[in-house]
Amino acid sequence: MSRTCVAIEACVALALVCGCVTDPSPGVWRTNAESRNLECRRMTQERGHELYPAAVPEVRPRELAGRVGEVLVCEGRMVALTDRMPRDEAMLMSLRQSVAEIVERATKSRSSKATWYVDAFYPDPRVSQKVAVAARVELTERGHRVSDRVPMLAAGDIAVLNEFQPKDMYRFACQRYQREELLTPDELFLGLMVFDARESQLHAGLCENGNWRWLQ
Amino acid sequence: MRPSRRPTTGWLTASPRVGALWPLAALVLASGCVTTYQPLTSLQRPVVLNPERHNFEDVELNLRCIPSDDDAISGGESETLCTSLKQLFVNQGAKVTAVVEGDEPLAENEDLEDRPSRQRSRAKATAEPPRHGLMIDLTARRLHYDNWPIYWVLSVASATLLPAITEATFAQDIVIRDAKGVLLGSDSLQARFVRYFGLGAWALHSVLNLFRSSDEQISNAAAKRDFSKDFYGQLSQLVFNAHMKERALNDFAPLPGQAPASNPANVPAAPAGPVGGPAARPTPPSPPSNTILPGLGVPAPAPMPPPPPPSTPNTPGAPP
Repeated sequence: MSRTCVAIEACVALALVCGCVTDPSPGVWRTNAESRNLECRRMTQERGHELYPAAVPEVRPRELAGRVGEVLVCEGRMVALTDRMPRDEAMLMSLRQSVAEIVERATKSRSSKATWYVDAFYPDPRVSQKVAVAARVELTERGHRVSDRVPMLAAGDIAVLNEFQPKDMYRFACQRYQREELLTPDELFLGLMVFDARESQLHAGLCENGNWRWLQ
Repeated sequence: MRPSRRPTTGWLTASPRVGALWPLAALVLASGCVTTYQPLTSLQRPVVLNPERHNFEDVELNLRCIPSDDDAISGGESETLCTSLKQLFVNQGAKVTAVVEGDEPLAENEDLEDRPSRQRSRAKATAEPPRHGLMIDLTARRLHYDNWPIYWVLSVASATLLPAITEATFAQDIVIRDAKGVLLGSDSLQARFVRYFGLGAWALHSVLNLFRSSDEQISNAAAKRDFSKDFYGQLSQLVFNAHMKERALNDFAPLPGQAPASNPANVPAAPAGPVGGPAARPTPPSPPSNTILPGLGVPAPAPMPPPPPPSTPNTPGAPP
């Protein structure tokens, strides 16, 4: 084999190897863990250029006819997948979407004049706070009036409620809110919680006029 | 006149015919390929429940595997997928009915392999919708496929020292409804596979795997193992979430055909009160054997041994 062929082949091999450096899949230059900490999405080249004009080239006019180019856009995660508990991570990954769905159901055919109280019941207080804040922000963005306080029951009431199953606990708490006049007819309480340690989704219920209704 | 002598530099160049055959021989011999697996979107999400536990006691599940139109998964592969998933959920204590769109539904203890292929019916499923339980529809799609001819040319020219590269991205769409048709959950599990064909890539990764940990191995078997672990785990998680959502929407009443539900892993939390610490980190599930890549279906997991006695979970809200 001539020296020219060897040189060409070496250059091509080097280019291939270098090209693989940019591939987000695991390989010579990237471990499985590093690959999993990339958030990758497939989209059209046109959409990719809209979102990342410096990284994705513009679709040339003659390429628009017929074949649709696709790109794989990857971004590094700010928090590695192993930095948080698996359930916390799973919950937070889909927090915005799940909270939006819950608020959509809660506010359906509801007057915007009502005042909303929101609280989250989650084992980790930091995640609980994030969930509550996300729900409050979602309600506010939809034009509803949101309070930053939560109705507080007496310690004795809480001790009694702890004796119940979770499915009954919130219903009885809602009745106590009304009896103690902690919630007026114009005020609504949205609760977000988890029931089972094995699930990675939020449940939600709405307390209105002493009646508790499960949203999801 | 001296007789012409053949060059003695080696048998490869001894004759033009033999010399032309060595790239082909190298191709035949170097038929190894290395597949890398990259989870996208939902497959990256951590799985909380342990698929080796009985998570679906007395829960009825109705699986429906739909062959795709774009050859991402054929009818035969849909059958294999349905069989595998049926075994997955049976291992977790569920009562499962599996049907491939276009086939009669499988009986509870029936396996697809039990049906003679000649007698396998392809009539449309005319069974009535189940009165209770969850309906799980699975549809596969191929989102992207690339096979660059230039890589194959270079690979042949270099006797497969340079790899030929193919790339494919698949999606498994999952829709879960209750018996009334109410949507309980939906998701699209997407995975990307990059396959390197050739002696060079295979040899390089074989050497590097000697220095990699078991979690970081890059090989066909590792790709299959990791994909199956993610796929089975995410699907189990989705179905469990849908099951819990159904219970909540029914005000936690016992579902038809089920015993009164017990909550072995409750997470009680008092309203307007502090909550306890985090739940125990679940152990990752061991992957099933004989895993195969998407587009070829997923084989049935092996029957699980009885689950170990459950340990007391660290339930928030419990007294210190």
